[in-house]
Amino acid sequence: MILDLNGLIPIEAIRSYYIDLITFGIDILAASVIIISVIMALISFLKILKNPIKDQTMDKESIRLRLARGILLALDFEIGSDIIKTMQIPGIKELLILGVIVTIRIVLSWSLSKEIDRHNKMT
Amino acid sequence: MITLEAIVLFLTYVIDVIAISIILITIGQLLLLLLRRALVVDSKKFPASKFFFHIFMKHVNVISNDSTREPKISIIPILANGLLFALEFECANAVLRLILVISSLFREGPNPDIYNTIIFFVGIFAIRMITSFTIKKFDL
Repeated sequence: MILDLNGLIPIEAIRSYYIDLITFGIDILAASVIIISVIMALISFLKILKNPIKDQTMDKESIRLRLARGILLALDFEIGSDIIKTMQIPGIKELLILGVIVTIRIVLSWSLSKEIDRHNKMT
Repeated sequence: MITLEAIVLFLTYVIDVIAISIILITIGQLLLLLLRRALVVDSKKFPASKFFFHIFMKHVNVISNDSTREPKISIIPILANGLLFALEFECANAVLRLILVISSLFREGPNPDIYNTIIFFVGIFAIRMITSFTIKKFDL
């Protein structure tokens, strides 16, 4: 005897609900990381405005890379969220768009991490 | 009604304003620097003009208070750094916008706005990478 669980429990709906909830949480987390990084970068930028211009150039680079680290962290969260979202892809077109976006994000993550590594080696 | 989308959109506008302000501040600093250089040249012809400009420059921190003779500062790295810094804010902005776009992709399906945002995203990062690469390559 085969038991039809789909008829008894709406597994699909429950799964979709939890995926939505988890990805929404991750998106909020990523957005919060970006916003906090932006605020911190802005405060640091306002602080260095008092310094002479020559010192500002070096300080700006450090602040920029700190902001880049924040973006990198947020992007990592977002890639995780996108991977979870692929579970409930409605169609091939959406899958393609998501694939393009994930690829861009991975390229960006790679570029940012390279830049941060290069800066760390220099200092 | 205040939705999450509205809040994120508002934040993207704020980040845009911050990026524009950074570019304006950088340009302002450059103008002051150029003014100072012009002053150095002019003061040889008109020594009296130097005094007032010097006080003004000290006030806006273009000239430090402790040094009488500073090394010559190159203009291009200052401008490039300011631009890169502003672009970093725009990167953060693009990432925030993409979060919204992907959410709408699952709710409403693909629309022209998605393609626009992707083009914006790619454009920003391409400029950012090219600028960063150029600065490192030519050791500016």
